[in-house]
This record gives sequence, C-alpha cells and structure tokens, in this order.
Amino acid sequence: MKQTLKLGFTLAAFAVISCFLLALVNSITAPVIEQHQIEKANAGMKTVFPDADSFEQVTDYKPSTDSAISIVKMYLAKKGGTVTGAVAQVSGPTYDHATILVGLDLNRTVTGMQFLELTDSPGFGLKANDPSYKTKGGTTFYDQLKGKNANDGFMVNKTFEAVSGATITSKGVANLLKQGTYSAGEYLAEKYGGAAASGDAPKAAEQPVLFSFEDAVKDICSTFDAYKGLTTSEDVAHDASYYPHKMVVDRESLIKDGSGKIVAAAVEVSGQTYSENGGSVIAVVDINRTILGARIVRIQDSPNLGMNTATPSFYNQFSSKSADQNLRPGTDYDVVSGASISSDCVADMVKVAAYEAAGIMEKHGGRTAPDGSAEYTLNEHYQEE
Amino acid sequence: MERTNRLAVFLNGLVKENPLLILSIGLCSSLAVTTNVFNGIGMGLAMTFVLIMSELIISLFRKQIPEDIRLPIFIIIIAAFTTIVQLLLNAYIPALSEALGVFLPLIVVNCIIMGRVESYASKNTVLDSVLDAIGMGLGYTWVLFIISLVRELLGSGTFFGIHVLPETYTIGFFSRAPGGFFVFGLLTALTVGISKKAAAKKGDAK
Repeated sequence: MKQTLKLGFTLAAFAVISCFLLALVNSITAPVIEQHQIEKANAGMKTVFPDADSFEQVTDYKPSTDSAISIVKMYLAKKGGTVTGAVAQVSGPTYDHATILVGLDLNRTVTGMQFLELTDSPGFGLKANDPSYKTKGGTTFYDQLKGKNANDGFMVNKTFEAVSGATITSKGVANLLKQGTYSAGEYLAEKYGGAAASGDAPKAAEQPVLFSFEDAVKDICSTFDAYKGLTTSEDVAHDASYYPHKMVVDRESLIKDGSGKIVAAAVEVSGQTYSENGGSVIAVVDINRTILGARIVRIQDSPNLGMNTATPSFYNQFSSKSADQNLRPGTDYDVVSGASISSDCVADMVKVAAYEAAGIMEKHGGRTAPDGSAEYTLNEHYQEE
Repeated sequence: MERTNRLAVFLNGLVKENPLLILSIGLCSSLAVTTNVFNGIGMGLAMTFVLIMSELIISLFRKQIPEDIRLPIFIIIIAAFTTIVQLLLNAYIPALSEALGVFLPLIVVNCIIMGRVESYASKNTVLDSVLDAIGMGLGYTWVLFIISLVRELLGSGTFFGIHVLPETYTIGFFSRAPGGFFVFGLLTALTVGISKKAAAKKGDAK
C-alpha cells in the first residue's frame, strides 16, 4: 500500500513539474504564435486592401441576392483603429466555380481583387488568374479591377476587359464582384459613413426552371385570361411508331374549358440537344394554331450555358408564334449566349411539338393547316443517323 | 583512458550504432520528412534537442525514478520536451513546423528516444548520457541530411530551395515515398558493406 502511494506521488511529481515547464514555455510562445496566425490570415487580405493594418471579421452583413452566389466572409479593414473599408470573400459560378477576395474602400472603390480558388479550362478561363496574362491595358485580369468604382458597375468589355476567349468566366467574376461589392458597400454605408450605392441591389441571375407536363400546361394557361385555371384533362392515344423529324412524341393531351369544350392541345416531344436525347419540350397550341407557350421538361446541358434555355426569358420567346411558321435564330428568337446549338435544338422541339399539337386541334375543330405547311424545315443540328 | 571512452560513447551513435543505418529504428519520420534538406536538418535538430534534454533529465534523476513506473515517467518527460520543441518551432520557425506537420508531435513515440533513454540514460552518468544523446542525435541528423540531399537534388533539382538542376533532369520518383526507401536502402547497404570490409581488415591484421 505504502509502496503504491509512493509510486503514485512520484509519478504525480514528475507530471506536475513537466506541466509547470510546459505552461511556462506556452506563456512565452502563445502570443507569438497567435501573431503569426493573424498575420497569415491578413496576408491574403492585405493583397486586396494594402492600406489596412488590421482586419476584423463581421457577420451581420447583407447576404447575396443571388442564390447561386454566396458571400462567405466579410472583414472590416482598419487603419490605426478606424474603419477604412471592407473585404468580402465571395464564392459562386463562373464557367465552373470561383472564390474571390475583393476589397472596397469607403468611396466604393475597389482596392484590389484576388482569386482564392478558380476552376476552369487551362488556356482560357484560368487566364483570369494567370499573373503572366496581360489585358490590353497591360495589367493582369484581376489587377485591372483595382481602382474601379463599384457604382459604375462591372460590365464585361465596358467597365473592365474580359479575358479573351473566356467571356463567360469574366461575366461570372463580374457577378461575384457585383454581389461582394454591393454587400460590402452597403455595410460600410450603413455603419461607417461609406458612400451610398447608386443603383439597386444586383439582380439575381435568372434560374432555369423545369416543369412536369401538368405544371407546364397549368403555367402556360395561367398567362392568358381566357385559359386561366385550365389544366390538362384528357390524354390522347398516339402512334408510338411515329417519329416526326426524328423526335419522340412522349405525350399528347387535350385541354378543355369549364363546359367541356376542347380549347387547346399540349404535346411533349423529346429530341437531341447538345447531347443525344438531351431534352424534352412541351408546347401548347390553341384552336387558331397559335403557340400559347412552350416549357422545358428536361434538359441535359452545361450549367450557365445550355441550361439557360430553361429560363423564362428564353422559352417565353415562343409564345404567340404560329405553329406553322419556321422558328429561326435571330429572326424568330434570340439564342442563349454561348449556347446557340442548344437554343436551336430547343426551338426545333418547340416547332415539332407545336405542329403536332396543331394537328390534334385540327381533328377537334381547330383551324386546318395552310397548304404546304406540313413540309416544314428545322434548324437541324442533328447528325444523320 | 577515461577520455577515449567518452569519445567512443560520442562516436558510437555517429557510425557504429547509428540509429537509422545500423539499429534501423525511428525510420518512419526519417523517410517521410526527407524530401528537402531544410526539413531533414530541421527534423534532425528537433529530435536531437528532445533526445539530449530527455537523456539529461532522466540520467539526472535515474536514482529517484522507481523501476516499476519508469516508462510512464520517461514518456511524460519526452512528451514535455517534444511539446516544448513544437511550441518553439511554431513560434519562431513556423515554416519548419508547417513542413514537418504531424511528424513533429510524433517525436514522442520515436523509438530512438525511448530506446536510448531506457537502455542508456537510465543506467549511466549525466555526462555520458548527454554525450550519447549528442552522438545519437547527430547520427540521426547526418543520415537525414544525406537522404534529403539526394532526394531534393534528384527529385526537385534544388538545394535548400535554390535551383541547381534544370527541371528536365529531375526524377520525381525521389520526391515520393518509394524514393525515400530506395535512398535509405542504398545508404544502409553502403554502411554495412564498409563496416564488413573494415572488420575483415581488422581480422587480417590480427
């Protein structure tokens, strides 16, 4: 018993002495280590806000107005204790994805911008973060943004120069800058007397929306007073071996009004887009062979590019066009920028679906097809099988 | 007589009982960190410091440490000095502590230290123990230096981070783990070969 206690005390004595020693060393090194860590974190921010000597993280800033872009962190930049600006860390889509640091002073002038992360194609988008790539102004892509006023906006090739061959990346970065500088600027204006914003909050980028067959019909009908509240009411059996212009007819349906009268027809077709069998489109056509609307059910394509054919500003272009007219890019609709093949393919599907729907309406008291309208041509981007 | 003995104790660790090449202990850290000379020497010196301090303290208190609980006490002492090294490097040479990463705290379980403390410091005088520690520590350090020199030069074409070989002539293999084994194996073979020859010569002379 005595021996055990003795052993215990000896061990305890050694532990206590070691502890004391450690505490001593720790008390000397702790402040130095902390200083190192702060300096390391500040080094990145100093490159975008060279005029500040310390940074303080804040959390009560305005979030991004765009769901795809997030403002990850916000720091106040201080010089001699007074706030001289803010640094925002913003993350969001470019051609793929980027995270940037952007510094803003009290006049809403960009003090610097830096990529923390950028995933993109080498030789194109990655040039945005390449120190050896020079814009026409002789600076790197990110350095040219220094000194720009956020109130002038970030417009590709107007207020700043895009990376050549990487307009989409440059636009993506502009959106990140818009969100970051707006939030930082507002924070400064509200609390530290910074300059006010000249415009409204940046508009969120249009998001692609995909519809089910029923929802698409409901959505299209709700845009017209005459058809409000109407939904699909009766499916029509169709010939499964019939492939108009190599497209598959997925579903045909009649739309009836309150008194049971057939007022419109909806047809869904699937076809090639940028990828094989890459999409499905619905068109609703009324009794006069006029397209009431078109919606996208399914599309496989690149985010920010072909996927944008599913945004309202693209598919709404087909409303009130005739089912018998050709749909041609430029004259009948504007293509989604950077995705002309996808746009043309979607338009082709709208045309086929609309013509089929008009055919159904013809059988139910609709207008007959004008002569020769059956031999229509498409933009035809598909390869011959 | 006394003096030559002391010298022998010191030289013992450098070549005859080199912890890495002859005893083959404490290998994992030595292979992991030796991708460049800076890390190799840094690791060697950190380890030497812990070894010297631990052997010093343990030989000083060797009569007070009860036989039954000597291992826990050794571990406490070694761990304390390892933590001290870690804190100091973190504070004053952050680049090194970042490069060594997890292998710095792992000095605690480096079998060279535990082995020397158990087999030498707990049985010998303070002066002898310190000499043994310096010998062993430097024995560890010079091997790390050679391995890292070869690996850095051939693997990334640099010496202390300065480019000496053009990029085209570097062999990436040496920067990675297999390269470490390869260089270490060659060094061991060389040492064994030389010491065998030396032993044979001695035999002839007799």
